[in-house]
Amino acid sequence: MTDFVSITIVVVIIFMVFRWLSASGEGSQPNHQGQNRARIPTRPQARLVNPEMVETVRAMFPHIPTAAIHYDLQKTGSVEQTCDNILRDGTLPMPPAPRPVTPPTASNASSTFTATGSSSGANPSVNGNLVQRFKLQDAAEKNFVPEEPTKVWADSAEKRQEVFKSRKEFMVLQARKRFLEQEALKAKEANAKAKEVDIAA
Amino acid sequence: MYKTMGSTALKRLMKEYHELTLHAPEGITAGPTTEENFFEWEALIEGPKDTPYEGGIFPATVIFPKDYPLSPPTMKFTCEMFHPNIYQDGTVCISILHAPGDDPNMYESSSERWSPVQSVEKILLSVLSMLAEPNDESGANIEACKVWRSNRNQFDEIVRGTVRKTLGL
Repeated sequence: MTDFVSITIVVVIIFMVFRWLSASGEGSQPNHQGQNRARIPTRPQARLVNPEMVETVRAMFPHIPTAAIHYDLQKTGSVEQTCDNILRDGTLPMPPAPRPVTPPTASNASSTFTATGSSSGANPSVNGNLVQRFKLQDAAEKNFVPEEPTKVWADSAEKRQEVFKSRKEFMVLQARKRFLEQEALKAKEANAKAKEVDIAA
Repeated sequence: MYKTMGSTALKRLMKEYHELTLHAPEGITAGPTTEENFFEWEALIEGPKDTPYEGGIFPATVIFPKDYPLSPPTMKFTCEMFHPNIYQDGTVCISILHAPGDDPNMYESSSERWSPVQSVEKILLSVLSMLAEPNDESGANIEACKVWRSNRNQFDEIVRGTVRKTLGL
């Protein structure tokens, strides 16, 4: 009989200890503070956020959008932690918008794929051809590469703009020339190889 | 409030422009398209060596928000780009351009995310390494992902085609 009683007591104690452990592990929010609030669900993405919490944070950081505060509170579940996040990062990320991914459908995919070879780029308004965009046709035709512009910081906006422009032009013309040289080199090598094969044969 | 934020952004962008004009890394040129609007930049980057992009020059626009550097800019290539992490419209999908927390798929760790200590230069350098090493886990151009995974020769060929076209060849 006493055995039965002591075993029952032990089981009850173990059960209570277990309950206490799992409850305290569930969140740093102690229960006595949040009695009036609904129990905070354990899943991180779905905590209850009441309007007072959002208001409290907003009062301290009026420049953060309400949506961002709400989103962060959902993750943290605590005003203090959300404030810490703001202080650490200076801002809060906006809730993710639905991803702008545009997975091509099967027919679409094949058509876009063949289109990559043509000029149907995504930006019809902007000219993807840099020689045309920077109006370098003359220089490109003569295969002319200007001297590398020096890296200077001019005093006036116009001069800076000029330096920037000449750097861009230099970059394009130089790359173009190098590209052509590379190609010529490759063609030569291919030729030489073909000749070797001829001689060997 | 917004005014002060705008001027902070301006000061910071001016500083970065200054820095980039004098000490831009090899293969990178960037600055405001016109100084009347400091929030829109044009960047040219040179394709990294030993990649199919080698020898190419790729233009892009970088648009900054008014609260830069708190929020990251967006970057969009203005030429044809065939790359797993670049959308068909040229928009670059790279972790440094995302603030921590706005990645629903959690592909990226927050250490490589945008924070105010990053800069235009770091973004462009990240884009250079992205060109060299596509990340086919978070694909933006599904077709490019597929070709990159299944047929590297074909991928290289398509990219070489875009390189020629941007150089006007």
